[in-house]
Amino acid sequence: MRLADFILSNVEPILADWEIFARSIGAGEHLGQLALRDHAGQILQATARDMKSPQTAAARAKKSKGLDHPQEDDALDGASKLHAVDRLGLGFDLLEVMSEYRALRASVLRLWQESSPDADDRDVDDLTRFNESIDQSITKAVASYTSRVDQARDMFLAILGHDLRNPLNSIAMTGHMVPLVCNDPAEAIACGQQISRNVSVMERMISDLLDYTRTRLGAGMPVTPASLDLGSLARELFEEFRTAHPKRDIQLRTDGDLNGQWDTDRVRQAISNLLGNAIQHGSADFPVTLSLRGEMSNVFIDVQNGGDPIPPGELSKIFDPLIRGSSAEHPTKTRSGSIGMGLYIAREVAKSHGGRIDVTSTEKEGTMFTIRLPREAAPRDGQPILDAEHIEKM
Amino acid sequence: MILIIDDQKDIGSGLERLLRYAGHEAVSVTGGAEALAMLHVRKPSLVVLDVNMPDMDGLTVLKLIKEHTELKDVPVMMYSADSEHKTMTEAKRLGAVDFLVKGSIGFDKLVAKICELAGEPNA
Repeated sequence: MRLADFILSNVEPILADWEIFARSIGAGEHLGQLALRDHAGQILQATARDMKSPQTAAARAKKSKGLDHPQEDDALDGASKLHAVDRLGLGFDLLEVMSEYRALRASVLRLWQESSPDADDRDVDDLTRFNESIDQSITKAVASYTSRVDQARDMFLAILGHDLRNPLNSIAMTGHMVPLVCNDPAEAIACGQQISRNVSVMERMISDLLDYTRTRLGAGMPVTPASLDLGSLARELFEEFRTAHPKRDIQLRTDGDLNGQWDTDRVRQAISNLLGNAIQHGSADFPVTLSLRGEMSNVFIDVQNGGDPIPPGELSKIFDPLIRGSSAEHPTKTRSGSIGMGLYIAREVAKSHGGRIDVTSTEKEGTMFTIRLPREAAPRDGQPILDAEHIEKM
Repeated sequence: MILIIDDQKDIGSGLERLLRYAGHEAVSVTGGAEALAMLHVRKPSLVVLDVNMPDMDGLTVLKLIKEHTELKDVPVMMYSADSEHKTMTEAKRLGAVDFLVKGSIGFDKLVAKICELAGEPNA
């Protein structure tokens, strides 16, 4: 059987083999999420159809230079682009996308070989055309992936610029007012407070941005674990949010032993970000609930709000501002004084303590983020730890 | 009276102060719903309106003002950090008299422009 016919008759076994192979190369944490293989199947079928289409040496030469674009290529290009965007949405990096292609190529060739095809003079030609098609698909996928990332980055920078402009404008306005209020002490004090408030907002945005950049570069978020009573911290935050949002129904529930070794400032930041997110996106008709429960070796922090559920397709993207911003259908909307990094930072805080964050969202139950923190912070390998003992060694 | 609608409380109150120092009466509110309630009580000479606000965006507020029989003749000037061409075009289409981008104009000129649009003398 010719290679193209073999592919068309064995799409399902090839995809099954591809999944096993892809997992075995362990290119990254996301290779466990190979549930969506529709596009991979389309790529295979388009590849096989492309191979079966007649092609002269001259046409092939033109195609290799990108000068010819037969109709079969449109299907392959379309499936490759969709596959790359799909993977970006699932959080795959470019290396993982390339690894998937490597696995796909290897699976086809291995299974074809195992089927002991009768030797054919055209085998070399088939293999060449198969490799050309896969390379074409990789080129399209990489172009689509990088273009979408560039687009998301541009959008993210535009949002950042926009959000920094508000506090900056307020500082400039107050500065302009200083000569007018110099004879009025009360007004002068109000101006000073206004400048300080807006400087704090800008500092927080810049800190969020630096945290984001540092963790994206793989350095991890630095933590200083120390004894902490999460119940007390939660009560402080609960009071802060109730004061800041007097019209909202905010509830606090605690259960079990909530003591452990964590970085107070980072955990405060994570819970505060989740509460801010719940206030912003949750419906005012439902309460925002902060619940903490201590179990044997973990403490769980739930933040729940009612209102419209997050669409299922958006759940996997919600923690990454770049990936979330890559969705043109759901443009990023941030709250005042925020650059939309809150959920990303909450996830990194959980990871930096050896924990994790999960989200569920349904019409009936609303949206709930759950942070699991091991009672003793268990930073990952390479995770910067800023306690006295580690700083001594630095 | 000039009504300022901006969810950034410091910007609204700052502008309110600037206009007061320039000799004008100004009131600032932080949301569209609060502004619409106020508009029905007292008709301002000008509305200065932000675009990106959490409870109701500025374009929706503008549309509601322009659709209301008794309010449609109130001039509305947009004052926003949003400098997207699409937003500006839409605001003009809905009836905004001007669109100023925050940070793109000095505050003396901003106050002068507001007074000119409000039809009040710049003190």
